Amino acid sequence: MLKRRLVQLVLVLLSGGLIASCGGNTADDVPLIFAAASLSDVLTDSAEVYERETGKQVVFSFGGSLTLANQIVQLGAPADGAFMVGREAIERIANADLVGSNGYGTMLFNQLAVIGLNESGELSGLSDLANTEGRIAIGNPDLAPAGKFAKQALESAGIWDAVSDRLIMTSDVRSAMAAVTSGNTKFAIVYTSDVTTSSDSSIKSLLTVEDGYGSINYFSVPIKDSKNSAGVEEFNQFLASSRETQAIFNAAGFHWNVFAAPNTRSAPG
Amino acid sequence: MNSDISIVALSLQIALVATAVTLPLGMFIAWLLVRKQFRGKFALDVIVSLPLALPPVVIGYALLWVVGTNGWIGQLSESLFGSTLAFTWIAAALAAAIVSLPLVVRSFAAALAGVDPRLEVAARGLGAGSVRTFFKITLPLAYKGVIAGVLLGFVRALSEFGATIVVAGNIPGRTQTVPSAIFTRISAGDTDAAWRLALVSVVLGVAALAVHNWLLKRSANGIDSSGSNGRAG
Repeated sequence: MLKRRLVQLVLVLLSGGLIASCGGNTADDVPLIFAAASLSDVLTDSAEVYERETGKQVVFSFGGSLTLANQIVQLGAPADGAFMVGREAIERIANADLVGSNGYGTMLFNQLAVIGLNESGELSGLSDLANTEGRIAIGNPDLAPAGKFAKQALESAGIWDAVSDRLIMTSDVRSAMAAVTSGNTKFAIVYTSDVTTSSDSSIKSLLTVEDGYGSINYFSVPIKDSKNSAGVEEFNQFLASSRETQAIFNAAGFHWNVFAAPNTRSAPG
Repeated sequence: MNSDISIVALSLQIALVATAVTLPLGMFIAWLLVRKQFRGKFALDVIVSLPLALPPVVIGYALLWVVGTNGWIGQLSESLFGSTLAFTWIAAALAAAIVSLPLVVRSFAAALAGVDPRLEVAARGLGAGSVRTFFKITLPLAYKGVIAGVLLGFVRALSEFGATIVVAGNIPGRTQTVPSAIFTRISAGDTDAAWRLALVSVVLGVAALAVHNWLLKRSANGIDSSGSNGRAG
């Protein structure tokens, strides 16, 4: 009697799990794009436009581009596409022969900005940071290109050693921004697009860092031999051609690379 | 953003399947530990309890080696289904099962140990085999503790984070559980969204623990019903 009850319990648990699976899972044939954290808002909004116009869906997994590239290359993560920032992340994928298109061109550009709470004074240059106090959040250079670029900029400004013990390193650029919006650090080095898209009124951009770091390029590629790489290519084409999505990116502070069509090799830049 | 409902549904799916696995497995191991003597019993106890003493990320990493491209489960899965188990909800369920197993085993063992072994000896003496004795005598007397163990295991499976994020990643719609989603929302500065899910976790945890404690209290007080027909089993 009890044995039957136990077996019933196990079956109930299992079927409960399978029924719950109807509500939770994204279908296998929806393209999954691993994307840089700085693209969270623009890609989510663009995907809504895409679904509205074409009826097709895409889903994203956002994070630090280097982390995501490692997941794809070393851990076999089931990404159908990669929309990353910085050459290093996309080259890791290319070196593992996982890029599914004939080449990849820069789609977007971005710049670095120093952000702080509204009460902070503006900075006239990055080296001014050395004269301030308080913690500075940047992405971990091993995990997020934003952190790498921030480090380059700080080194170029000659203040890396001076500020390095004030640095808080986070897993991606949005966590760095969240460190300031939560009030736990005074400054952060993020992308200009992050500040523009943020609806948080307690922070502001203190400085746009014009130079001292490599050019911040975004690349979008399908992953070779993945299930839905064709769907990724369609989405990329849509992004580049739709006025509405272009407006979304522009409003967020990204600059389109108008000289390169998607999926072609572009001149170094 | 992934809707709250779908995140909770996915978490429930993973935790329910994990609990369905740990229930029979935990029961068998608990019975071995409480009622049987054999060489290697000490080692079994240590191995089963190990997930309690290890950082969950280590468990996830070890699991990744087994179910990923380099592991035998991963390669088996690849030949059968075309891809490894890494970054799938199954890997998340495995991670949840491994971390909750020690809690389930301990709860079950405590419940079984509370049953007077002389009753079992009497049943054997009357001709019942060990399986029949277990289901007709032992389990009916221990069932409250068993249910408490299932609840504890379920809630632990529901809250697993470190192992899950290493072996299954944090893919919205596929492996983003409630804890992973909370982490992502905190990281992104989405405090309202993070609080909503955190509240769901707290409510589930409080409910499960309240029932768990109530069950243990009732079985400790000897308030025991062996079925409405008055017979065990």
